[in-house]
Amino acid sequence: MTYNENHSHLDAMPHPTLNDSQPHVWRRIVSLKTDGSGLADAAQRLADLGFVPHERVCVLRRSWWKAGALVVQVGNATFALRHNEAACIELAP
Amino acid sequence: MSTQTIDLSALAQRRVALVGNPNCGKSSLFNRLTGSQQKVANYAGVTVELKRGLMKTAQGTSVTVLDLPGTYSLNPGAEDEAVACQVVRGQSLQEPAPDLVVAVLDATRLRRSLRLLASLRRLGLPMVVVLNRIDSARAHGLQVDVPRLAQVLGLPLVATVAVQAQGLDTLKALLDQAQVWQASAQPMGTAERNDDAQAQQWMSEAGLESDEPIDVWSMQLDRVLLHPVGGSLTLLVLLFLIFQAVFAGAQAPMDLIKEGVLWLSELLAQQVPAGLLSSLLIDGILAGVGSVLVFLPQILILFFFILVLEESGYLPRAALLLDRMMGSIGLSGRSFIPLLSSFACAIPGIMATRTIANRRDRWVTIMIAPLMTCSARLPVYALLIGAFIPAVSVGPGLQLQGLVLLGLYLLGILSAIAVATVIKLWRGSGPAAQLMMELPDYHWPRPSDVALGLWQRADIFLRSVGGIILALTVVLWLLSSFPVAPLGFSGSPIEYSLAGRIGKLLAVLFEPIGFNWQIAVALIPGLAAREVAVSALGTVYALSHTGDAVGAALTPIIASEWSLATGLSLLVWYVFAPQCMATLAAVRRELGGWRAPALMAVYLFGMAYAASWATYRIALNWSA
Repeated sequence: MTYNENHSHLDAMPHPTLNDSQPHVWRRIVSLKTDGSGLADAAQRLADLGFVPHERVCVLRRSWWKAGALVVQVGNATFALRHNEAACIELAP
Repeated sequence: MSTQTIDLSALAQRRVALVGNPNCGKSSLFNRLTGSQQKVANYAGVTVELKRGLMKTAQGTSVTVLDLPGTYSLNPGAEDEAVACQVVRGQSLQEPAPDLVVAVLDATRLRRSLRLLASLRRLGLPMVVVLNRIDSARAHGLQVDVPRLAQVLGLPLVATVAVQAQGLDTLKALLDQAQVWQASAQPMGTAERNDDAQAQQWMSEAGLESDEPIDVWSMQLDRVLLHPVGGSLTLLVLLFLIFQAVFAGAQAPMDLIKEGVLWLSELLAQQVPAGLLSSLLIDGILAGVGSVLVFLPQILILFFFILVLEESGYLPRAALLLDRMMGSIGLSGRSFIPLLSSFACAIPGIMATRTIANRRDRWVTIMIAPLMTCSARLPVYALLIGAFIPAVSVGPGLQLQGLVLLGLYLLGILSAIAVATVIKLWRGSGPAAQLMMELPDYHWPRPSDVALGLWQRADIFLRSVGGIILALTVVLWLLSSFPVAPLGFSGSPIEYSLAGRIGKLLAVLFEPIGFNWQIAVALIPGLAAREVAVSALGTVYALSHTGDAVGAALTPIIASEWSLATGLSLLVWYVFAPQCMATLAAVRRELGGWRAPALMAVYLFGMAYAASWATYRIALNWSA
C-alpha cells in the first residue's frame, strides 16, 4: 500500500527512491513506501514531517561511508535521514 | 447569557496551550508572554518537561499558559510529541484539556504549519492562530496577506514577530474577547480528510505559493558546517572550547564559593562556641550548602553553551556529525555533549541529557555518565598515585604517574563503552533506528531566552537536587558525629561514631578487595562527594591538618600502612565509585523516581567491587 492517491499502471514499475537520488538534483515525491524498509511507522512519520506527495526534495549531502546519514531538503525544511528512511521515499522518474 | 459579557474571575482559571511545530519560535513567544512568571515541571512518568506560565491579557486578567513540546502532527512520533498530543486532545491525566489552543504557525514554513492546524481544527477546540516569524518570511520575499489568510482559515489570526511587542499586544487584547474562548471553530465534517490537501487548499485560497522560499544563508553555512572535514574540525574546536570552559573556566567561581564557605565557617566558629551546635552549623549545614552551590558554575557554563547551540540550530547538526561514532555503541550523536561534560562533573552532564529526545538513549547515557572520570576524582587519584606509583620516567617525556592517570581515564571510557554495548546486545537498540532529525534554519540566539533558560536550570538544580544533597550532608554529619566519643577514647572521634561502627562492619565486606577498616569508614562521609574521601581519611587517621595539607600529610601514612595491592585496588574502585549522592539525586530528578538511581548505584557498586577484587588479587600474586 502506498500513500499515492492515484494508483496507475506505473505501480508495476519500481519508482526510484530518494536513497538512489543524485546529490543537488531536485525531484518530486510520488509516494511513500509503507513496507519493505524494515521500519515500523516510518512512512507515517515521514509524511508528518513533510515528505508528502508532490513536495520537492533534494539530497544535499550524502555521507562518504555507506551506512551514514543523508542531509535532505524537503520543501524549505532540512532533515537528516538514515538511508533506509530515504529508501521509503519514492520519486517521480 | 450574552456572548459579550464575561466572568473575569473565571478567566483567571483559564488555560491556554501553545501548540506548534518544533523550531517555530513558540518558546520565544512563550517567554515574551510570560516573562519570568514560568515554571518547568516534569511530566509524570516520562522525561518530558512542560513549561507553565502566567500571562496578563490587555485588560490585566491572568491566564495560565502551557508551552507544549513542539510537534509535527497529532500522530505522536516521539515521547515529547506524545505529551503535546495528549494534552491537546484532553487525554492527559495530569493536565486538564486547555480552554483555548493558540496555534503558532511559522510563516516561513506555512505548508507544514497549516497541516498541523488542519488536524488541530478537527478537535473542535476554541482556537486562535498566531502567525510567527512574519518578518523572516517577508525577508525571504514571501508576501502573506494576513487578513485574507485569517478569512480563509475562519479563525482569529495575529501576525507576530517574537522579538517585537506589537503582535503580542494584539494577541493579549484578543484574549479579552469572550467569543474567542467559545468553540466557534467547527469541527471538520470529514474526520479523515487529508491534512496536507487541506493545507494546500488554504494556501491556494490565500494566494500563497506551495513552494516556499529556502533560507539560502543556512544552506550556505551548512556547506561548511556539515562538510566531512571542515564541519568535523569546527565541531572539534567547539567541543574543546566547551570542555575547556566547563573544566577550567568553572574553577575560579568554584574556588570563590569554597573560599566563601570557608570564610563563613571561620566567622561562625568565632561567634558560636565550639561544640555540637557549631559543628552542625559548620560541618553539617554550611558544608552542605557549599557542596550544593559548588556545582552551579559548571552547570551554568555548560548550559550556556547548550542553550546557545540549541537556539542557534547547531545542536542537531553536531549530533549528526557525531552520530556514527556514538552509533557504534548503540547511542545517537545527541549523547556526546552530556558525556563530554561528565568528565568535568556528572551532574551537569546528566542534566544535559534532556536534549536527547529518545528515551532509551537518554536512559543509557545517564547510566554511563558517572563512568566518565569527573574532576572530583582527581584529588583521590592524586593522593593514591602520589603514594603508590613511583615518580619514574618510562621514556622521553613519559612519567609513570601520568600514564597511570591516563590509564584510569581510559578504563572509565572503555567501561562505559562496554556497558553501552552490553545494554545494546541485551536489550537491543530499541526503536532508536529512526533518525529523521530536522536541521532547522540558523538563528541568532536571543540573550533573554538564554538567560531565562539558565535561570530555570539553576532553579531546577537548587530545588530538586540541592535539597537532597543538603539533607544527606546533614545526615552524614549526624552519622559521623554521634554518638560522641568519651574523653578517654584512644582512637579518632569518627571511629566511635555510627559512621565508624558501620564502616567497621562494612570492612568485612571490603576485606576481599583489600580495603582496611579505615578506608571503609572514610567511604561513608565520602558519599557526600568523591573528593571528600581524602579529608575523611585524614579524619580517620586523626590528622589535624585541613585543606590541601591533608593529602600531603596522608601520603607517607598510607604509603607505609597500606600494601601496593590495596592502593591499586582503591584507585580502580574510584574509576567506578558509585558513592556520589549528588549524581544519584540528579538522576532521580531527570528520570523521575528512585528506581533508576538505585539501579545505577547497584551496578556501579558491582562493577567497582569486581574490578577492585581483580586488581587486588592480580597485584597480590604479582608482588608475591
